[in-house]
Amino acid sequence: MTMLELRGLRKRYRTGGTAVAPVWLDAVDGVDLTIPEGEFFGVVGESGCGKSTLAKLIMGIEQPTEGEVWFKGQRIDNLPERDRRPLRTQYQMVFQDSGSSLNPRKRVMDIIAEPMLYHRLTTRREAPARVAELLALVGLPEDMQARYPHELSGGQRQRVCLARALGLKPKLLILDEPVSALDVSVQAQILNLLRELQQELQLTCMFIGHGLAAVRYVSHRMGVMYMGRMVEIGDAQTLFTAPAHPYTRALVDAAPVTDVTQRSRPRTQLSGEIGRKPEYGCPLMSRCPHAEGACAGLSGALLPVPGPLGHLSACMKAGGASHA
Amino acid sequence: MRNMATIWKRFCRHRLAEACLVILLVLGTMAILAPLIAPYSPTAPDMKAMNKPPSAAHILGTDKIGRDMYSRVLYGMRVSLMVGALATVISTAVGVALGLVAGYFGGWADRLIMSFTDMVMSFPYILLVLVAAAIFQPGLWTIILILGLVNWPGVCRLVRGNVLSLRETNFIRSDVTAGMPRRFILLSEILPNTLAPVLVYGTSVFALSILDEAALSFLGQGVQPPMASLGNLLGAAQSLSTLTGKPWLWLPAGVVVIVLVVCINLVGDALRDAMDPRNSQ
Repeated sequence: MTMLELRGLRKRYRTGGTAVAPVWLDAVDGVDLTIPEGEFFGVVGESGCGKSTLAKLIMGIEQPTEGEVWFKGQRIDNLPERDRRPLRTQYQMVFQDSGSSLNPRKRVMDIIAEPMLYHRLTTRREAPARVAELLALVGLPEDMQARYPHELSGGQRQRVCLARALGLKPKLLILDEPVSALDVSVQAQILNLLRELQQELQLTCMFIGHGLAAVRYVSHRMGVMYMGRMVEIGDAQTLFTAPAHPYTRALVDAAPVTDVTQRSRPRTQLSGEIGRKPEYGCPLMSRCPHAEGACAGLSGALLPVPGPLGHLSACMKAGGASHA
Repeated sequence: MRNMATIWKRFCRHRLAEACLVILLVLGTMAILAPLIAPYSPTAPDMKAMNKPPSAAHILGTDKIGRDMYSRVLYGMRVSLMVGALATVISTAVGVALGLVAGYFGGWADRLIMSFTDMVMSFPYILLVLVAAAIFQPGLWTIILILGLVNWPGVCRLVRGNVLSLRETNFIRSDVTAGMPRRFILLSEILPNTLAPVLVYGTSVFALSILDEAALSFLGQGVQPPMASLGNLLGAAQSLSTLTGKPWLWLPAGVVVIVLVVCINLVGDALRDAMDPRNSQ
């Protein structure tokens, strides 16, 4: 069963210009994506590629300019808030910066219990036991209940955010860079926790990150975003071993390796920096070492790549863009 | 802005403010207990002791119809503090409510409220108060209402700004994504987080209200005799012979106004330092 489906999702922001000649930016530029139930889907991309905006559009924090969001066979992006509220328990989000994700004036107990109480998933009397249960689930001792957020470490705060989200028994969990603000050792703990919880609670997860290794570690499938577009989608392992889009290849190649014999491996390097998106054609064109004239005519649609089923790439040289 | 104990500890680092707080508490208690500690009635004339300078029987002397000045200052302080406190409560309540609505809902509600706020702010303040006092019957409750209803724009802007920045924080977003209702977000999440700056701002509104009451009563548009207030006691100094010859009639009230206002402001300053999270060491 399909848990989440995005159809041509687009979010346009005005970044400047005048009232007569405004300058627009498509932070999310026509994303199509289907995530089946039970999948751990990873999204990677550099800062500003629109991955957080994508999360906000799914959660209804921002309204899409165009396109549709379907959740379990129901279109949710155009629902009025009143009708959407009961559905909201079913898809939850964990934010990047756990420091500002918790009300500094409330105790962990209330932070976790309040949404459950409002949605009648627990009663006042049962709440403490339920909170303790949730804390145990995310690996925190019971006595954390009485703490304030500033008395917790970054990793602990992120676990509290997770407990709060899980308290609503969501089917879909969106994780917006949940580990990027944490120490490496703590990152690993949280990633392991996420993997376990996903299995145990049969969650469907969408993990947004910029660290390739972290995303690969938890994900079944992955999508790579560049300038608001999905440029490649496929099995997480395949994407790593046989990337079909030059941008994915550059990302993979840019990650440091520990094997000294691999130091001098051939690498795809992009020239220049992320700049303004060309008005037509492939957004990577100006930086891509394989670019040629025909790239300017590219629609950005994802095309199947020869090989494993479900591997899609926006590059017309799909498969051929690798060094082979 | 974490909890009361740390705020108190940081507040105590300001020795001066601590002393001011003690003075305020003493003066406040005296004002509240005025009916018990005042030696004479503040309004009963005494034909046998008119225009007397300070003595053992009347420690601050008597006025031209023989009323005991010490009693009058005590009662006057009571009235002035009450006017200040109630006017502050009214203006803070109005400002907080409008600020919350403007900041959280945005759009036309924000534009409407903020234009109205700017309008009230752009009036010459003392003129507005004087005109209002002239139109309505001057008196205790009129002046409380007038002061309460002209002082809110500052609070409103402060709260609106806070709400605007809080609205972008992740914990408010996570309330939205958890489907929490608006009244919960506004009253349980946003309001408590904006109360600290409002409290600090409130102290300066309090001090201002006391001064404004004194000014209005001095001009005869505020609290009406025979009821005493610090302002209309000061009004006695309008006569040159009193000003030069009978300082006991106006000096004590003047000193009390100055002490009150200075102390309240210093306490407010220390409170701001204590509540500023950037000051934590």
